[in-house]
Amino acid sequence: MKNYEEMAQNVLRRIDEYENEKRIRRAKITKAAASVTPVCAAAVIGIGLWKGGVLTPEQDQLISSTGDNAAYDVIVPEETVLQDITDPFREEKAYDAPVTTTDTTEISVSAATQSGEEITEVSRNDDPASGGDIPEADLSVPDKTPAPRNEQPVMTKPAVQQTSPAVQNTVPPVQTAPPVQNTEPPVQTAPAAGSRYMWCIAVSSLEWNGTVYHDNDMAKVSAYTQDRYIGRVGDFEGVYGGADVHPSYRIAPEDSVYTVKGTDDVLLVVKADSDSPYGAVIVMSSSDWSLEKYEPWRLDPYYIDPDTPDDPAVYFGIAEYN
Amino acid sequence: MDNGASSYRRFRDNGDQNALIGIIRDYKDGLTLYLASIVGSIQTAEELAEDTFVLIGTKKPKDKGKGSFRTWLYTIGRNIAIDHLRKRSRHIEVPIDESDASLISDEDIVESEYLKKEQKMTVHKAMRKLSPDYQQVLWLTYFEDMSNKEAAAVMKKSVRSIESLLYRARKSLRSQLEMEGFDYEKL
Repeated sequence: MKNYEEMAQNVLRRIDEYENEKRIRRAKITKAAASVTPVCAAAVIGIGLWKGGVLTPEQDQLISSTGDNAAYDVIVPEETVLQDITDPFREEKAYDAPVTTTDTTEISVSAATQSGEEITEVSRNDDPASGGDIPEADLSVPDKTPAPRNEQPVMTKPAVQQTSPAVQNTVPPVQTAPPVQNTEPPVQTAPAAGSRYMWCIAVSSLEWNGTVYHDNDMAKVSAYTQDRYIGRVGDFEGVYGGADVHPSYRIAPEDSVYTVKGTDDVLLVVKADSDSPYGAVIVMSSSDWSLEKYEPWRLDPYYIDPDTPDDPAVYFGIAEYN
Repeated sequence: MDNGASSYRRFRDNGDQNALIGIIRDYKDGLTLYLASIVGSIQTAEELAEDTFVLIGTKKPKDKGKGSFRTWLYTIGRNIAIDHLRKRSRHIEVPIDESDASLISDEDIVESEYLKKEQKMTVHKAMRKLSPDYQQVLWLTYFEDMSNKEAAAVMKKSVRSIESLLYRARKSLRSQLEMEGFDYEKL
């Protein structure tokens, strides 16, 4: 039987052994953790990047396809496009060209004026799965400086809009000079007098001789001849505003009302304020007015409005909003 | 004397090994004999007592202070003894007849050292013939001078159960002593 000293020695020895085992175990765990932690950290980072979409093939494909799109953004002079479109011989050559493309290729033709020179931008958007095999070097533009573009749908002359799917293949890549940056900021100006594209929020109306006339932004003022003065807008029943009532109405009580020669379907309202953003003269028409009846020549698709400026951006007032 | 609580605190907080040695000196024999009442073998009880001291020396459990340090220590020892009995029940048990006679003599030495009085020795020998529960409760109350509440805490029983168990153990011990021709007045 042990006495207490022997038992104490045994107990202390076993405690020391336990502490040593614990220390060794802790050292082993520390070593293992030191070797495993970088691997785990790398795995976590890798999974994080993978889940975050950085390493996914879709992202790579997206990036590459974006790059392709950028490479296919070719800026060519509009003259070249027009020539290609109108020249049937060139079109035949285009169909014989060895380059294969798909019908899903989209062409958008936009026009912009830069430094007084009108150019047309042909942008191509290929489906990567369709296998467009156009060499990138043929269509890439070395200078990727983005030209200022109009994002709004651009209307061009009818001849320009008649494009065929093969045209894009025949368009030789033209390396254009970097667009001249307009250092001066665009000046916000009020619409010129007579501009027809200033939006009017509220519809104005006048009642004369039992007929109600509404303001008509489709009718051209130059198509009608002013006849006789019949009073001020404020003398008539109707809906109109004015700067002190509501600035969104095109006619104001102090404006003058005139008849026109040849018809009672139209009245002209001459603005008292000649600098009005709605123009100097407002055409008011009855419900009997129609474009076919009074201005049929404007229905001709080849009609060119002499008042329309050459720059479509200016024509549509887009430049003012850029 | 604070029943070893301050010594254990010194060992646990400051690593004072002398404090642990003091605890072993004070509680070794009592704990061993108490555990012997559970496992039925003084040698096993001695090993279990040593295991108990090793456990409080390595794990350093916190004495919650609900009872005395002795109660807490005996409770740990009892749990270790019960674990031992569970493990032993899975193995082939060696019949007590085959145990070494020298071990019995060791037990006698311990008894004689711890149970100074002859009467106590006689009572303890009579207790050895009782059931383990009777031995435990008699040991804790008569030889360790624990209250019923402390004995209940060590044996994880209610106080009423301890009272009932103690009554029956006392009755059984008395009849055992009478059979041996010994009349213990205190019982």
